[in-house]
Amino acid sequence: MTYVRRVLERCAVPALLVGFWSWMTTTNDNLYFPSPARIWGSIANWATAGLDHDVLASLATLMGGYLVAVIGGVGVGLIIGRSRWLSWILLPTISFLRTLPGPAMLPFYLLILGIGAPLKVAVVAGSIWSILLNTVDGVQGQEPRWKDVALCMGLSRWAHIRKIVVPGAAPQILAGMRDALAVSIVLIVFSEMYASTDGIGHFVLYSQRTFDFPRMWAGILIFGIMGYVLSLASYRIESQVMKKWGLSGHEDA
Amino acid sequence: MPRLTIPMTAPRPRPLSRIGAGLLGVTAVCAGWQWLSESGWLPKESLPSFLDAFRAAVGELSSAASYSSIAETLAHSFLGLLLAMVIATPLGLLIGLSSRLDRYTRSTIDFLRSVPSIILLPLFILIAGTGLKVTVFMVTYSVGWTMLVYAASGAASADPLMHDTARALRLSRPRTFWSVLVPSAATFIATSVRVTIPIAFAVSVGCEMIAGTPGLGSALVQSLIAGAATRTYGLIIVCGFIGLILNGGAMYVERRLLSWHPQYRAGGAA
Repeated sequence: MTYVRRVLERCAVPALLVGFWSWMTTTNDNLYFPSPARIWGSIANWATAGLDHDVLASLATLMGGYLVAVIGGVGVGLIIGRSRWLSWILLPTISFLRTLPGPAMLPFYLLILGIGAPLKVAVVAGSIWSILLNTVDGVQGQEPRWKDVALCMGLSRWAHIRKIVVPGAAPQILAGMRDALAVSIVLIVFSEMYASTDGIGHFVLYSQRTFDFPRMWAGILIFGIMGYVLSLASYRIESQVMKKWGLSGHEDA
Repeated sequence: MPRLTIPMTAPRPRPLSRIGAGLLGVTAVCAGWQWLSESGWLPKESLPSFLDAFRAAVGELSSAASYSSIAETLAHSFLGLLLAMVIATPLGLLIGLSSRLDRYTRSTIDFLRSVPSIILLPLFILIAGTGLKVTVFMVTYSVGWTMLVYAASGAASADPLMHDTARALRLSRPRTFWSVLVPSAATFIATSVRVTIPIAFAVSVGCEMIAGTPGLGSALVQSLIAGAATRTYGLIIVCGFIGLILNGGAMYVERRLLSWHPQYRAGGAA
């Protein structure tokens, strides 16, 4: 009974919205707002003509750039976080780079790298700053006694980092990764709209410019679902890791 | 929680050596840039020297045209933020107050919130053209969901005891709203504004780049297309400084406005 109620609670508003949409679009024909049936038709069409290619192109660039951001952010963050002097020297510069809006970096990469896959990966990796700074925070905010424990146990430097520093900073690192994923997703669309010939961002803007509005909506819908699934997945992975390491759960807000 | 939290230690001033180290880092990066460009590793058209770029940035700051594009970008950001605040914050408070409303709207809000706003830009261009409106709407949409969620958590965070007290004192509804709900949600709302200011700025620049709305973003694109690399770098530096000022300003204002709040009286930021 409670299960049925929960499903009802979750589906009621979306169902109402879709119903309202199809009622509005079938009663008065608006060029910009096609009916759900026509959007669905466009998706079916697109599925036979390159949907997988566009989705995979976007996903590959996204994952490439995001991986660069995660590996670079956590790696550099650990190094900076463990050295007081290094953090004093580098943090002001990093704070400046972090406040640079991601899109404004595109001309820089364009001038250095030219148009192509590396450009897009570099733009997406612009989400590195929140991971990096969060990692530094997480490492520096650790209980000083943990270091003493590591010393007492005679842990090697590597074991200390792996067993104490990283798990201890995990809540901040994971929070940074979650923020960075959302930023990366925006930046991939941005780079595809500005400088690309494939990917969903390009597909949506191109459909709009060629006045194929059902196709534009199809792209928006598919990408919206992709964004939702990715953020859901990252949330799940985050809670799993937190649970595994015995850390407190989410503090949302 | 004690009524009064007296900060045990006053915030320590930054040691001089720390400031010196920071300056050293900035200088090293600038010098490295200058060297990279002068040594000819990268052609001048890709990487003009740091000094030229910096001079261009200063030149931008003293030209009337750049002032208007900076003003336009800031106007887009703040109008968008304002609109989002007017629409999203009251809705969020409402949702936070009613657990039923929260349960019914949660799935929809979570979905719409995770749709990256920029994918909607082509649609917004259709509806609102390429002028001021489209960029403002994009900013509103991008930050609105965050504001809504923060306001909802803020309203839900009000101590139930406060609600009971308000009822025991037979406070009127508006009175309860102003003296129970708003103070307890205030930190959440202030934080939501602080975290969305940089987003609003980035979205404005990005939107201007793609839609061509006059502003810093379109100035960047124009200098890029014109092949004026030095000016492009100058504009990027200007964007960075504006971002820095916005960020710092937002934090300062948040702390000032909420200096009465226990969380801020302790001396630390939220």
